[in-house]
Amino acid sequence: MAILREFSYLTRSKKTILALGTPQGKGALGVVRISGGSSIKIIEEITGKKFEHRKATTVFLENYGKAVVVCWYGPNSYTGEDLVEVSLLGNPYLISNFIKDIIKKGAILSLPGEFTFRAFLNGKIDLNQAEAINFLSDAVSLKVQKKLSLMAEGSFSKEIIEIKNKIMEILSLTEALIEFEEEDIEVSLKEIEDKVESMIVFLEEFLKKCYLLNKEDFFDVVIAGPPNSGKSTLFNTLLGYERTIISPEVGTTRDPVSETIDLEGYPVKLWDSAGVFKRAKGITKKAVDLTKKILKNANFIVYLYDSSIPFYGLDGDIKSYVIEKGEIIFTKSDLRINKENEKYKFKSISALKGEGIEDLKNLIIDKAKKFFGEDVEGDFLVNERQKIILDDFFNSVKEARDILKEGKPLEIFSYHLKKATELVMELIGEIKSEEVLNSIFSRFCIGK
Amino acid sequence: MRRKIIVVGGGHSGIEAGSVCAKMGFETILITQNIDTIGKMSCNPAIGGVAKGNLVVELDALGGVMGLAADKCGIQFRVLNRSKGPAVWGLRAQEDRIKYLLWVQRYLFKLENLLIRQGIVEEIVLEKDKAKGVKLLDGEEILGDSVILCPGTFLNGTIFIGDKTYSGGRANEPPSYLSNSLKKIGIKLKRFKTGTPMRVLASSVDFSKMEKQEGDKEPIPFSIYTKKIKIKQVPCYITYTNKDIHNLILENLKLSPLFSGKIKGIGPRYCPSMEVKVYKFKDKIRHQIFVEPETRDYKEVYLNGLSMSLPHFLQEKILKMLPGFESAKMTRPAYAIEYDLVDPKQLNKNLMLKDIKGLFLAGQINGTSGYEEAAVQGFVAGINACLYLNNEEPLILKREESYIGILIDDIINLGIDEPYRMFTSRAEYRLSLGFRTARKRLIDYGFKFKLVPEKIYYEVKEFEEKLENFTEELDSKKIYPKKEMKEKIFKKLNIEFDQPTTVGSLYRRTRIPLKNLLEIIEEDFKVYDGYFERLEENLLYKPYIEREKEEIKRLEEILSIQIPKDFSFKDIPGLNKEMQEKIERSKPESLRDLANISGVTPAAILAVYVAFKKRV
Repeated sequence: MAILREFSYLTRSKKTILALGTPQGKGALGVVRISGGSSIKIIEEITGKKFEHRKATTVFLENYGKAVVVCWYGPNSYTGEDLVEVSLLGNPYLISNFIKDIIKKGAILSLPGEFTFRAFLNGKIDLNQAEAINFLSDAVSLKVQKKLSLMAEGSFSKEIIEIKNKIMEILSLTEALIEFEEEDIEVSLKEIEDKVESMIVFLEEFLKKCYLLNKEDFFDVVIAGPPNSGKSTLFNTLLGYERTIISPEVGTTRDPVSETIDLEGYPVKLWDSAGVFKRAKGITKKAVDLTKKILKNANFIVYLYDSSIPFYGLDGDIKSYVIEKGEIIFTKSDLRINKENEKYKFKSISALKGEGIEDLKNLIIDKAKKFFGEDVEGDFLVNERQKIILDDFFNSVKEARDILKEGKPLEIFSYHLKKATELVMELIGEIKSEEVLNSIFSRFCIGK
Repeated sequence: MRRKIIVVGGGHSGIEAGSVCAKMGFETILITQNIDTIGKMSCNPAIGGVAKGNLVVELDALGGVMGLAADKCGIQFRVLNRSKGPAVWGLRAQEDRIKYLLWVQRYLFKLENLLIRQGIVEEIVLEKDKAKGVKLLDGEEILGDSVILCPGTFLNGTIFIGDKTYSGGRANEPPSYLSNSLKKIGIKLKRFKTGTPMRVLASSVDFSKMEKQEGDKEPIPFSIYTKKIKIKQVPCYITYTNKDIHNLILENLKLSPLFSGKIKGIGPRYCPSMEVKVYKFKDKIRHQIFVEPETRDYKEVYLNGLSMSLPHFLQEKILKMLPGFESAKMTRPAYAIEYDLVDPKQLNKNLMLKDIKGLFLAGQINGTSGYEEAAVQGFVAGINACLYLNNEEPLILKREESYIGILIDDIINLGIDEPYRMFTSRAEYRLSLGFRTARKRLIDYGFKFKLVPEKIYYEVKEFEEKLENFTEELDSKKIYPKKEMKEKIFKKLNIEFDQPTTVGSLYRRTRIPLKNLLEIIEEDFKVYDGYFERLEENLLYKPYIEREKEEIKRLEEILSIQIPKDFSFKDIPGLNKEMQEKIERSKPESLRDLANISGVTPAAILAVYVAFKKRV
């Protein structure tokens, strides 16, 4: 029953849960979140320190190196209960050991979306919000979620309904054999077996087309360009608020800064990078190298150039990256454009005046669209919850098939089929036992 | 002063209601139109079937009458679904309908505290919102403390044969006029249709042209009080309709009140009239007809599958076209019957009307069909009338523990759109509801209410305990893959094993009779005869039932959560207004009730739960 899945969160609600906030193996940091009654106690035991509400404290742990700990005392936290966030160095080995230590102290791994569920349970968000996040999937962005639900009404749900119909047919044939043995019903076990086999083939194909939408699947957009070309200004304009320190001084942004934004439903990770110039030294050199690395990994590069300074082209690695996946854009178009530059047909923007920003956004959206493969027909993005359910479903059907092959009694075969049907129910809503009977009565002439 | 319970109706539901109330020590009056027809089988002379048989066995474990009556008066016993596992086996027996009716009457007359009265009930007597008794057609008032209505198809019944109609509760028996009284006190009624086939003089039938169907060699009784059934069984026969019959019916469809529009009530899809079968399934070249004896002496036969509402002359024609019936003489024509029923959504789970205290309904009046469905409701209504008068907690059986619980839960929460019949697929946990486990599941209730004798109760308890131990042993004691054992098992069972295994696991893999399996293994397992069947059932389903149990436990924890009585569903964040109103209207008492309201999602249940938790 679907309610069990929902309520299993409830029966766990007294437990302390933990989750890894960043994907394993990636990223410079690993963030471990712990929520629940003993979360703060656990971290105090591990660190031997006390923590104040909402105050980031750097601690040094013998086994895990430097870590930043923030504690929120309930109810003043996202989940409404005591919440701890620990940022560790991004070493997967260290992180997994750290998690094991927390589990030893009594915490359990969280289910998908359980933090959101707790927020709902403790009145931090209402049902609408919770359902929008679908409890069970920490959505990438609300709009992507919306897109998924639109999809759910469209081709994806068509496939699911097809699956539902197939399983319902098999189930009602089986049930007809169980309920109406005395009636002369023209169904053979062989027919049921064939239908199960063909369903498995169908499911195999279908599952191949389902892609798990990863939380960390972003479209990486790097804003690059020479120092003081207006990168941070554009970054902040796109973000909608001041994120980085902007000053006209050359080279203010040393470390690459990133922020996730939602562009028409696409999760875009926007990077503000250090200005690139040839003769950088020391710390600046390091920053430039880092920028190059980011450019290498970028999905799209917005290369900015101050339109008031003559453009002499790009060189080296950067040139090849920009040619491969970037676009050069003149900035500060509100100022006087250098005559030399008039021969170039680059787009120009003025972040200050807001000119050309919409066009640039649309350009990014176009690129993101291609990246996420919206146009790839017949493919489905599924969220974590849908993926789990679909996999469980497939396994139940296969189990049912094996039961039939082993010659076990029909009601046991039906048991597995019903388990499978319950899973479909979780994807598209309830199927009542009445529906199975309806299907039997419309198909067979029952009537002693 | 002793309190008095009035049971209206002497059908299968009234019998159980009357007898349980009397056994519980209440002064009980059973009022029926005709004492001589108490226990009459209006339709099929058979008890049980798939799922229905389980109802009877469950009723027996609780202390009902039907199981014993069926054992005593059965003339052919046959278990349906033997090719499947025992969870879905259906005990079924052909009954001698005359013997049955006499047996039940004798049983009731012998009961202390029960008075049987002949009379036609016309009105419910109310005192404010409490049922106080009934008024008879002749003006007499019979007063009491609680009333149980079991009128069956008699409630405003109309009989149809061709274009002829007349008021009647059964052929040639007057209907009940209670409907008006029910309407007057604000009860909403619906109308259903059912039908019964023709009966034929057995001596005019040529059985040699039909397939013969014998009973089981070793009949399995319904009742715990029946040790063994030692009777000579009689056979049934099977014949088939043919294209000519179908064509004749199709040509004359307009003569059927089902097609002329005269009958408006909704009939059961699992038991349609012949004309509906022929019309809906035009491709079917033949329909199966079971020819069943009405009594042991084979005076009349019942043509199971040939119910219809066509005019008499057509019935005669159709009959003579059936193989074996060429010169058959019809004794009673088939007919359709329309009757009133109460939308069971108006009932509480104890089968008492929500708005009228002390008025209980049971059987066909609640929209069900079938003797077994009626009987279990009669019992539950009866026991609950007693508990109500004693100010005790009602008996509400759970879906997880019985088909009876499923039946009542279904009709009360979902309402009904057609006559409701029990099917095993209505059960969420079918594998643990096999007929053999009924006593284990329910005998505690029967004992609690002193409806099951102490001796029987302790016998069952002891048996079940031993069974548990045996099961445990067979599923835990390891058999090691020593060379000798491996060779033996490979030779005898064609199974290879390298890891230590158990008898249970070997049984599930091979499903050869457990007794043989133990003989092959030759290890020291002490299992007594008489336990093997149940052990096999236990072992076969164990992995599934364990999973189900775990699920049930978790669900139970959630669904049994009571919603505070004064809790308002308004202003629950996230629930839209329409849903709030819908929930308000059906006044759920627990999360289980809430979950049963259509359109309520698990998330909404959570929202309600969180809302009333917070309020505290």
